[in-house]
Amino acid sequence: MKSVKLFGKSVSVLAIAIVGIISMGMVSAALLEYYGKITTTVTVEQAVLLDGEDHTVTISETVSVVGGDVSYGADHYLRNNASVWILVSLDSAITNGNNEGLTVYPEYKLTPSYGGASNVGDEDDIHFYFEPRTWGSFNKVSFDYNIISGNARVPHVNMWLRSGDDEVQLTTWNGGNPPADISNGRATYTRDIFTLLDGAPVTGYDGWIVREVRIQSGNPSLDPSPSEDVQVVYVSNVEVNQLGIINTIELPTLDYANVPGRIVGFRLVYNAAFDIEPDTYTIDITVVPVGTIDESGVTIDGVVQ
Amino acid sequence: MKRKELAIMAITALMVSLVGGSLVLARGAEIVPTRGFHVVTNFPETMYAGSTYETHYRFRNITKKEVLVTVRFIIEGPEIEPGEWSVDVTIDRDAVGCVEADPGIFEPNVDEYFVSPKSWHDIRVCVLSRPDIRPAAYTLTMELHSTKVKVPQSS
Repeated sequence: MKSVKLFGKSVSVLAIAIVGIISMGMVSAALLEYYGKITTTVTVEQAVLLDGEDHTVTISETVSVVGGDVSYGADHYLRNNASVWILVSLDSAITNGNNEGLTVYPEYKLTPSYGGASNVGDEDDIHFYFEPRTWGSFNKVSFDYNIISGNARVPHVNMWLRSGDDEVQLTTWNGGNPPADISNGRATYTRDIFTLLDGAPVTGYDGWIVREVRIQSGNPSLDPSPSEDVQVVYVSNVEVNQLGIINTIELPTLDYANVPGRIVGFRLVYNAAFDIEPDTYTIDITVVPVGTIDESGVTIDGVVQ
Repeated sequence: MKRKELAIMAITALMVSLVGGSLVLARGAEIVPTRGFHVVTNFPETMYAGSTYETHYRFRNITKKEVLVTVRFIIEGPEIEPGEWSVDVTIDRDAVGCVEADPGIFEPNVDEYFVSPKSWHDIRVCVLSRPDIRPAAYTLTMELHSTKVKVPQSS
């Protein structure tokens, strides 16, 4: 057998090789790695469309106003293509002309349908989202309404109370409860008008959270609704407890139960002071997505605080 | 064989093994392609901001041992900011807690996912974007590392 001299001694090469390989296996016993990589390219489009276009495209409209008059812009529509509900705020800015004495605000359109398929909600509703408060501290909700045609009934209000993962729906619909006050085109529903869905009084829920009001037009008791429930009505300037106008609205997903409620219609109201300088004004409309929520109105990042 | 010869052989073998082991470690662990790694259900070509989408991958552990699996999901696009995307990963039926290590780069917060030998395994990735992200082309990449740890035989 072939041997080599190491340190002056003759040692078998084969023996060195065998021992070396075994030792190497023991010392280097480590890792064998597998690696894979898959890449996909996708095109991301905006979820919120304003009049069918990317919402980041500003829409402008020009109006001529007369002092002391109220005029209205064209109808616009918001659509949410996302799989989650999206909160948006509408912003309008006057880009030319003197804006002193001109008040501009959005007015939301409700157009319930009728005679559709049974078990399909044909009510139309617009959801206003606000800082959470407890039912115990809720006093009233007020809004302007502007009935253009059809049923003369003032839209009713639905709300959800939540505690952790539990929720219960409140409504002013049961018994056809009218608003506590209707004057100058403004309706106010006070807390005592709300009931549970089965008509029971709302007791024992003072610590539960409320964070949205859903102003609804149509007949939630009947699906399909009869034709006499149809109306075209605009609502605006929604306030809870007179704490300021709510500017954030929810855009439901396109599978929302109330079919007309899947698309949010609105127009701008131009309210001119009596002493306004006659002029032509151009107003830019900007839609700002501000967050996402799940269908129940609980923030997607966690349950209601 | 004399005792002195045995000692010399042992010293020599140790030197050889140290050199050999160092060479293996110096060039890193041996990396080979993951067997059968493929897409079962891909993301749609068009996604809407603010939406949730899922993709499904499969791969095979061809070894006779459990392997340690580590995933990394990378989203590349125009000016990605932290928190614009969230990613959930499931390996077989186990949810893998993912954190955004860097903007658009999601890694498990623990690396203790072993999968069984000689079998196929599923990875599902669910992505959700904020509704205000920039509309553009985005590249979504799934990287899969699996590591077979050899246990030294005691002799």
